[in-house]
Amino acid sequence: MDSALASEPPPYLPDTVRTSVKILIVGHFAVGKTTYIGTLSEIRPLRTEERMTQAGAAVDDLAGIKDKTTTTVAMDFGRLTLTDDIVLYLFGTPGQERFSRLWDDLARGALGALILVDTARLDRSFAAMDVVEKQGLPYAVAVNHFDGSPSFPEDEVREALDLAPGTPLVTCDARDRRSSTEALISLVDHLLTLDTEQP
Amino acid sequence: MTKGRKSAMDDGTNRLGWMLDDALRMPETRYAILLSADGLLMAHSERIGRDDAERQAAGMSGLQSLARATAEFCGDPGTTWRQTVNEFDDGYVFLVAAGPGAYLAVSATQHVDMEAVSFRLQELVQRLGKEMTSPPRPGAGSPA
Repeated sequence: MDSALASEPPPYLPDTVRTSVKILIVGHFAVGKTTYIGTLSEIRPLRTEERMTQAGAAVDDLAGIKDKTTTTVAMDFGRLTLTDDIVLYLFGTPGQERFSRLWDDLARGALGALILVDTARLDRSFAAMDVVEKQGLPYAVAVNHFDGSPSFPEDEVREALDLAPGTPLVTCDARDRRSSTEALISLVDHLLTLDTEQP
Repeated sequence: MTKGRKSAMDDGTNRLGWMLDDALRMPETRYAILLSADGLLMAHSERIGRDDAERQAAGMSGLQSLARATAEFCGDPGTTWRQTVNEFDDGYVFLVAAGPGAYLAVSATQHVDMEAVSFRLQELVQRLGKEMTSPPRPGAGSPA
């Protein structure tokens, strides 16, 4: 019977074959990563939020974000089917640097990262950017627009964050599905471009 | 996106799922999932849906990452992580390594025979290891 198999055509992948793309969602403490993944995920997201305690008062600066009561201690997870053949798996990191040992593990297997930033606290973004750059991950930057945060022209934000000319920079509202999706699309477009440039 | 992965789950076949179901034939077990070290689902048992299984896969990868990050609490920081067991009112979750870059998670009720589960898990890991390193030839028929 084995010889009969040899003459059969090779098995073709069904039309439903999809590409899984792992994406990291990073950014500093309280920039909106959990909200962002919660807005976009088509399945119930995985959250590891814990109530913030007095112990963190000295290190976790809540200036300007006094309504925040919980913080992510391990990770967030959500899934977004972007097109018929691309499924994004979104992995969110904890923001505080005391969790940095987890970041490297979470980055494993990721194809790219979306870095969320807040214009009121741009300088806080460098630790997250360092981790992503150290991993060699391509990334896009999304300004999560907070009510009351200053609006700077794009070139000023680029300069403040020292972004390479090819790095996408977009603005979104982590509570809003449309603008959040657009931020991810800009990252995926960026990954696709890099993919064609470096076969 | 050529660098994206077409994993066992992505063609919708859940190729290794039958093996997980086979392991769940022992009394008092609930669900089983196989996941990659980077948190993506590789296979799931029949009674857990794909969406839930994917969320659990991500969580389990976080669990083992956290467990390993705390190794030095138990002696040498480089000591090898073997398994993580969680106990709930409703039962247990066992998380073990299943070959290079893969983990196996199995849940059971509070009445399960812990020793028997451990033994069965090791057995399953060995079978999965063989299966993952040498996938069956296309068209070679279904496993007996």
